[in-house]
Amino acid sequence: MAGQLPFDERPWPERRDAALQNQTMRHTIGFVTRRFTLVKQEVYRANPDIEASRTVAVGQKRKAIHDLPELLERFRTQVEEHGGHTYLAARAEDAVDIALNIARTNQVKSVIKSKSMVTEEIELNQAFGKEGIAVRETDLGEYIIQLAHEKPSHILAPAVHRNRHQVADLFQEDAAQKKIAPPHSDDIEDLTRYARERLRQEFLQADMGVTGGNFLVAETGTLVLITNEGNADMVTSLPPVLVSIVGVEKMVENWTSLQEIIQQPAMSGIGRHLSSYTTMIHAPKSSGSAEGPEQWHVILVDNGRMALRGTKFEDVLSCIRCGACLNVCPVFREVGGHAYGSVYPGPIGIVETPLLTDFQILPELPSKLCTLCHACQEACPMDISLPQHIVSLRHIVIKRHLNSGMVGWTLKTWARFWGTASGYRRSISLARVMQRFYGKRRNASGLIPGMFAGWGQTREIPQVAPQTFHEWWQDRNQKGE
Amino acid sequence: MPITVQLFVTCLADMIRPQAAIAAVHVLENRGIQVEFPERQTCCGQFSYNAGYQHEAAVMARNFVQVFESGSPEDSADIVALSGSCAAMVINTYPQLLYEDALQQRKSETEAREWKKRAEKIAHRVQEWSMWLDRHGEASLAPTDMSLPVVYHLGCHMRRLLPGSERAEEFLKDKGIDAREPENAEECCGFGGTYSFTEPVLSTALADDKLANIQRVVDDAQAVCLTSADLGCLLHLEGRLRRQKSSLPVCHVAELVELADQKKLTPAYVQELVRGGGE
Amino acid sequence: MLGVDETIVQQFEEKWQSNAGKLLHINHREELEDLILDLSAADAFKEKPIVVGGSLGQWEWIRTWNPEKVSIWSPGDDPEVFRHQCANASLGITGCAWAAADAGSVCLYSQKDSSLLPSLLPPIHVVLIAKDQIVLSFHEGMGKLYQDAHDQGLWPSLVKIVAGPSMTADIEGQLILGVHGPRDIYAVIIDDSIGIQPN
Ligand code: SF4
Repeated sequence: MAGQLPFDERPWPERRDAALQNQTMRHTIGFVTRRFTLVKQEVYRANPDIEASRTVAVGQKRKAIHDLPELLERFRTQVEEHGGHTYLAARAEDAVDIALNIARTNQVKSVIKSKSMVTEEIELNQAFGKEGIAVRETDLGEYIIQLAHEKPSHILAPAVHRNRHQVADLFQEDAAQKKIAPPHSDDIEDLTRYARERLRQEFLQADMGVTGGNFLVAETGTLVLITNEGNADMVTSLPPVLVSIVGVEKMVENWTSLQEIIQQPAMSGIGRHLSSYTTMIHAPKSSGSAEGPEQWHVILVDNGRMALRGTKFEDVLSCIRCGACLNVCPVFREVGGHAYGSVYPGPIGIVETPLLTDFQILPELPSKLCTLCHACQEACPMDISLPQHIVSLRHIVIKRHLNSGMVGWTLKTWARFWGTASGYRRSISLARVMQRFYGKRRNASGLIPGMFAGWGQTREIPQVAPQTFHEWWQDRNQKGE
Repeated sequence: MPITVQLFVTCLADMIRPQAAIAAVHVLENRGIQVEFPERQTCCGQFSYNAGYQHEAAVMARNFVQVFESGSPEDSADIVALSGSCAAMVINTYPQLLYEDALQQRKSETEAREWKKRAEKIAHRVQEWSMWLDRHGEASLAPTDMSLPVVYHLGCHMRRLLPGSERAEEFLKDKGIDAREPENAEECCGFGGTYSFTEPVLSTALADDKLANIQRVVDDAQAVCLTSADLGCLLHLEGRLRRQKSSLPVCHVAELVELADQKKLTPAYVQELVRGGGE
Repeated sequence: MLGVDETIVQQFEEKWQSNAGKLLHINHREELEDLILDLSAADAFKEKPIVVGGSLGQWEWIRTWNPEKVSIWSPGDDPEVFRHQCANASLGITGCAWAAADAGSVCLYSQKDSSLLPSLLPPIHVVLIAKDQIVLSFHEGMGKLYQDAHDQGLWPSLVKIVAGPSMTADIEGQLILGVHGPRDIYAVIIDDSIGIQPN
């Protein structure tokens, strides 16, 4: 069953141009992604043994996806045995309903949340907002974009498109509204301190916490969360009710698999052995403990994922959201996350978005946001065949007639000509005739009618040589050497 | 017995920059290598394949396989391609593509496998021109103390899909061509085959980033031209340079190697290469 | 008793510091109280500036510290009160279950007799590590966690692995320490010989 994802309704050219005009964003994205890429390469160079672990992790993760239905059952049984509650949500709206019900039952008024892409996917905050329940994002980047009513522009650094002055403005406004002291200055230290103090009170008072999850361990019923700020630890240890909303594909089979894979997100994403905090939730608070939630609910979200199993796109479900493919992608560096129009940007996003929704949204992603440079393939620690998938998706888009007509006609005709030597020769002479006829200058646009229009907007069109190599060769042979 | 190679010139070199292919032939022949040019060759089909037109690509791929099989299944001459990207297309994509397309066209499993095998055989024989030369050639015909700085663009596919391509720069340096990669060399120039036509705005934004880094090498090291083993990238970058009224010479590596062979590795001769082009 | 492999300790120290963690070196356990009082700026505080996660084991002697300044979690205490104390404290102390040399990390279990809050709410976290708690690799430590749970027939409801202070690079990619969790984390590595014999 196809899933549902929210999307930006602006057409691609509008999203693209807005991104290209945002110099602040382009500068910061370029800086951050290149630095992440560099430190990642360094950590791999300095620790050659990571490679062996990574290969094992890939194999085990593939197997977990293969065995997913069974592992989900095992995971659920384990969690329930420890006193937690589990739910399987087939679609985004089901996940939202389940979470809302838990909130209603517990008369929740305020929610604190650590970063979770799945909750962006199911638009949890909006749904809670409609019910009058305030959801507070606590990851600094997420908090910033929440104040700005924006979407994340990078899965690791959601507010990377904003500079300090823009952040300061948001915080000033927030402080005025809350009638509290504003940040001392535009200094990033001061801005961070403001967020710390501002959010601290919300942490201590919230009725419910919401987390995502990096890994689920079927054998032990453990949920693993990885953060750098420490907000997930607040969320998991302070509020009385905890709801973890996690994609089903986060499953690994057992503790051994977890051991191999647990360092991969930090290694590949930020070039460290571990992020500052790795938190494992195993059960609700046992009586007499100082911290932990009294209730723990785990909502396992399908939303189009299970349907990918058994297809050639199955490996996409191995993604650990490390962000490495975003960081190396030249297109992502150019336009940032918003231009994609999807919750999931970058190479993995242009593959996942159409797949999860069965092409119902943003079918242009695979062709407009990828040059097929293969950098993502090289970077992906989970060996996901991103470029091959992108080519396959382009193929599906064409088969389903979701693209514009001109390119298709051109490439089909072209293939008909170029499939044989004589057709090839004819097409060259035809191009020459057309150029003499149409163009002031002799150039190659006649070779692929229609398509050179795009090229010519920004670049001079190359000229067809007066004598092709084929002609030169024949000429030379006739003359005899 | 002299070594024989079969040349795959690629559609772009054939039609737009034949001088590159001619130079490539001269360089090989100067080394006593016998060059064959199967005349029925057209294009590797990568434009179509990457755009998602798999059947259309398969039509060209089958033509490629048939042309280079040369009738005799024993024929195992290396196929030397004038583009790293096209070489990678044949090597990495053909076997599966032809297998799948045969099934799509309702051919039998046996026939599909047969196509796959034929494609694999061909794939084994294909190498990019400069890498082939590096593996088979003596250092240089005319050892030289000349050293001409040039900006070298190692295309993404050659870099990532052809193992050993990291030697490409060294190969040129051995010949007195002081190849220098620009900063962020591993970032795509934005060509991307049909991408450069269907998404010109981003394609050009990427070209501009690349050209800014290239210009820095020109300024800092007095590089005299931009070169690459991939004409696709070069034509895209050259088109952008000319639109911006830049006269930086752009040429294929084969043309520079020929100059090196002729001991003509000077800025003036490089200029001449470009003037010779497209007239 | 077998000697502890000093190279492992050294590797831990190096990695911990490269993760922006700090070290407190002490020769005698008596030195610790003064150091901690200093760090917590105890004099400037009205309430108890120091909170301790409990489960002291070999650090039992901390109970001899000035009770005006220190609050230690014990099973049966009121969690609300302790949480309030942690939220207002300037320094939190915990032990750890194990530390990994290659990742420069420490692992803390939340159990009845040990609370994670001192490692979370105050701006400074001091973690006490016995030399023989340091294992070579994080991989090995994870194996130990699994083994511990099996041996005790019980998983800690929360496990927390700390590999550096709370940090963010969310604004302009600039690294800032101390967002929600502690900005300073100190490791005190104590030799048994110090722990056991008073000065
Ligand atoms: S696709 Fe690969 S590189 Fe990209 S986020 Fe997922 S795991 Fe990381």
